[in-house]
Amino acid sequence: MENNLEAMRDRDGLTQQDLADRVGVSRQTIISLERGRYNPSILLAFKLSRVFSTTIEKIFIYQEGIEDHE
Amino acid sequence: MNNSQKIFAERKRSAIIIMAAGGVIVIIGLLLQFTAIALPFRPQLVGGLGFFIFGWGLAGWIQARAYLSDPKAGQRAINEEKDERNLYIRAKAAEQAYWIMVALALLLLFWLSFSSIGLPQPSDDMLWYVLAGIVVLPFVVFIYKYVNGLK
Repeated sequence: MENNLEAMRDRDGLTQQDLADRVGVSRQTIISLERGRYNPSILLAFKLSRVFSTTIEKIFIYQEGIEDHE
Repeated sequence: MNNSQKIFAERKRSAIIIMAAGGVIVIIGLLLQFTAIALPFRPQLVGGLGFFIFGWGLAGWIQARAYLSDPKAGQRAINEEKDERNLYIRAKAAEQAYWIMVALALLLLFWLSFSSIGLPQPSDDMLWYVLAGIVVLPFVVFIYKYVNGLK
C-alpha cells in the first residue's frame, strides 16, 4: 500500500523517531511504513491521522488489485 | 510518574524479589553442599540455579534502574516492546515454529507406530536426540524468522 507518510512527516518537520514517539511505536515501524513494507493496524492509522490532522485516506492510498505485503 | 516509569518501578520491585529468591536458593545450595550426605542429585546444581535466578533478577534490576533515571529512553523501550510490527513478526515466527514442531512430532509418532511393522526401532539415545531436536529446531526457526522479519 502506498502512502504519503514521509512527505507529511517532512512537511511537519518531524524525524522518524519523533513520529514514532508520538504514536507509540518503534522507529523501525515508521521506516517500514514509509517504505510500504508494512501496513498499519487501524488503531495506528488513526493515531497517524491525528498527528497530521488529516484523514487516513489522505495518508494511505489503497488501490484494489495490488497485493499487500503483510 | 508517567506510565512507563510506573511499569519500570513495578519491574524493579519484581527484580528485587527475584534476586532475593535467587539468594535464598544459593544459600540452600551451599547448605546442602556442606551438610547433606547421599543426595540423589549434585547439590551444586541447586547453587547454580540460585546464581542463575539471582543474575536474572540483577539484570532486570539494572535495566529498570537505568530506565527509571531516563524516562524518555524508558518510554521508547516500552514502545519497542508493545510495537505492533514487532508483535506481528513474533507471532508469525511463533506460528511457523509451532507448525514445524507439530510436523516433527507427527513424524516421530509415525516412526514409533510403524517401528513394530518394519521400521527400525529407535534406541533410547536416538529417541532422546530426536525429542531434543523437536524442542531445539522450532526454537532455532523462531529466532531465525524473528531476526529475519525485523530486517
